[in-house]
Amino acid sequence: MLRKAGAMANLGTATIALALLVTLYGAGMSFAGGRREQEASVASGQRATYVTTLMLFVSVAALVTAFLQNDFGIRYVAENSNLAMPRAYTWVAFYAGNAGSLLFVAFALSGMASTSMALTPRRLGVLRPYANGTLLLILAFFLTVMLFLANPFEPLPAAPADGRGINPLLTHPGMFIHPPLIMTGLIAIAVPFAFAVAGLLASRIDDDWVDAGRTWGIVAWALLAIGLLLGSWWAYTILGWGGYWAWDPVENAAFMPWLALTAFIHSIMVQKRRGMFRMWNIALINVSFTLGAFGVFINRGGPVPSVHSFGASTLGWVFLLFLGVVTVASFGLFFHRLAALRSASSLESALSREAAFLVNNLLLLGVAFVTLWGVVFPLISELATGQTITVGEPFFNRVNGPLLLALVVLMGVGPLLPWRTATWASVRRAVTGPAVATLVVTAVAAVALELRQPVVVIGVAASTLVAVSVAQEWARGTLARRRSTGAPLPAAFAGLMASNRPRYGGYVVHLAIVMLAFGIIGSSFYNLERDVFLTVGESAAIGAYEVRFEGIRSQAFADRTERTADLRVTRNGEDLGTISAWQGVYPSFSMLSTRAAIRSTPVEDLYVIFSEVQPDGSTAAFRLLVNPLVWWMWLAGPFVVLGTVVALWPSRRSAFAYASTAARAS
Amino acid sequence: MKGAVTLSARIFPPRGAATLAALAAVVAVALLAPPVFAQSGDALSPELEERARRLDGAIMCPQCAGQTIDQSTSPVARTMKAAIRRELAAGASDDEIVEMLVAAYGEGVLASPPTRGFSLAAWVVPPAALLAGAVAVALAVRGLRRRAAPAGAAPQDAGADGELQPYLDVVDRELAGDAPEGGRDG
Repeated sequence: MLRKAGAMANLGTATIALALLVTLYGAGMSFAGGRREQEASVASGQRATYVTTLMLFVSVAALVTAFLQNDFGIRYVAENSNLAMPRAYTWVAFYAGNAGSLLFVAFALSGMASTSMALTPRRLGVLRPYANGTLLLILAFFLTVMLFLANPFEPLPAAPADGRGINPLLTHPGMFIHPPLIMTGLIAIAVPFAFAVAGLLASRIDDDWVDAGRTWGIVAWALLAIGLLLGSWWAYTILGWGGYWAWDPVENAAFMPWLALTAFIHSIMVQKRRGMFRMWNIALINVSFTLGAFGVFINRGGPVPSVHSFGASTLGWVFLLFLGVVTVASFGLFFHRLAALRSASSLESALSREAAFLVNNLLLLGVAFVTLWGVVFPLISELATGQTITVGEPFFNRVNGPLLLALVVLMGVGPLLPWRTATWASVRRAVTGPAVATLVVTAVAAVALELRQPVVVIGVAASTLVAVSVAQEWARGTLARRRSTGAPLPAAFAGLMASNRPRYGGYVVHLAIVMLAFGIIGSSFYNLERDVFLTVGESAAIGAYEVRFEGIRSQAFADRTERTADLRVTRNGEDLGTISAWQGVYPSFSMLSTRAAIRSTPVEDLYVIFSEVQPDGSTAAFRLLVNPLVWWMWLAGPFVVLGTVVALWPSRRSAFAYASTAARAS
Repeated sequence: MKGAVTLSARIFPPRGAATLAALAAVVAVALLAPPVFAQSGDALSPELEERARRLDGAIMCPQCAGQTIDQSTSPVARTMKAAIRRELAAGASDDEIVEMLVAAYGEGVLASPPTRGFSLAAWVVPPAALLAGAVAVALAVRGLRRRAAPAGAAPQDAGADGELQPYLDVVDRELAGDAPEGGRDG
């Protein structure tokens, strides 16, 4: 056993070291080959990327094997797992700590690099090797850090009999996907960023960059979006305060690049269709990647305390250095090439979709800036006055809330504006229908549901406007298509979606945002909350619900004691069955992990957590919540995926175009 | 750490000897309150409870990173909530209660920065930056439009999007037969 385990440690370290060498070689070959137009060097550089991915795959496999073999001779394995850990959580333990998550990030980056290079058509010419070289340099940074500062395969002088175990907060199904998606999403911004760098190096900010940047920008955007949603779901079910978003520094660190990417994937469409905003798009992708690097810095050994300080480390300065180099290099190159970035086209009217996109960018970057400001202000304050202050949820809600609301309003109006220029008459024609429908729906909702707060009424109206305008666009297009082709409605609708995938995929995502908006409005303004102590047999009422405490079941495990509280739920006298709130006590972490009992319906969630129990299990402290409309927030996830797939699905024609260009080139 | 209540939760240590007295007051208030398990239900009037809730949402739990005492279920948070309710029942104003908590735990106990002194910057900078951004966008729009006049209409609207154009043309044609805005694309 021990000898085999040593083999895993050696194999892991050796493949990381080899990967670093291959990476540096590949970067050199790519830049030199691209510059001298030597196809053999370029091809060799690209093969280096594939080889690196293979090497890192072996490293990943070695670490997973070490976990499966309970090889506590490796420090990382001993610190993040133990014999009692369910085997399935090996994958979570893999990135539970600092060194392992670095290996994951490196593997994800090399995988993204290989995929993007394999899918990039040859006609992009010198952009390919330059982008490849840039990606390999970024990868080299992570490999160096792993090899010299945070090696996941570092051996212990003597193997302990059992490991410390995985952080109990991480033993949740959401943890299988949420961290990998966030990490992959953050690092995936490197791909569009690398193409931007390549474009700047080659002074070629043309349609090729637009296609590559847009495609990989959307990929990174979607990964982050789903990662953020899953993180919210995890927080909602396990962190046990009944919320899903707390403007925690690490949530913010993933949210900011997502905002900048959202601005980018909108504004890149302006360049795609109108040739404008060339400078601006490069700046946006630089900002996105810089914010992504900032996210990695905050997440890995950053200066702010957070829920996510799982792998608290002393690596902060390394990532700060990385952040500095990335910022200086990318913007240095940007200003160096400014002259080549002049737009070929110009804005014709302040009343046009281009102008709406500019406002969209302003608002998105505004939210990103406020968020960044909120994250760093405590540090600034501490440096300036020596006083520790908190910038918490109330600040973000107060400052970002109105901006997010304005974004939803814009989302309703913007898509109705035509490109180039609109007359007020045409705008009125396009907006009247949705506006009237919105007013009717909002008025009915306000009366029926007794909505009183102005913010809520505006929020409902804005969200409705988005949904109605999307519905109008789809209905009109589908009907027109049916009339002209004679196809039945479903086929006509499918044909319409296929006719302009970026646009209609975007609409699907807009609908997902509407679902999120409704969930956020419902749960922030209309939630009920009650803290109660209940003795077995006692009931407490919340809203229309009556919850009776049936008793607590206890079960002891090697690493934890689990307690499950059973609660009988009735609503208006109707029996709704039993729900169970769960709690695990982990002595080795001196930690209490909770899992809420949630009865979820599209209308509202009944949410119960329990915190403390008297030793004999007869009395416990419960928090009861009724959270309206939260169900819709989780439904938004599949819609984000669907919209992204529609927007990115390669059309037959573009595949054909690639093929024919390739044929002409050869 | 959110939700993760350390088993040995104690009152957060005070920041200096000067604040000891204030903390002692808080602790005394907490101790005078009936034992935690006996205390349930809402003893306060609805108005006072409303104020108490608002205060709960504005005060951080000193031991649970990133959670207000409203969100936290830790014993510390419960003690602080009980103290707030006691003070409210005794007729203290919201400001007095906040001042007492700040004296005991430092400014960090406030969930959002106070609107005075250096912390005012936290509130002033975002709108200022947004305003600057809006001005920049307005200037950019003006600059772009001025260039539009001599350059004339840009020719590449159709060309810039080669791969989609045939489809868009089809849609445009279809829409033209239907809606007056048929010329829209995009």
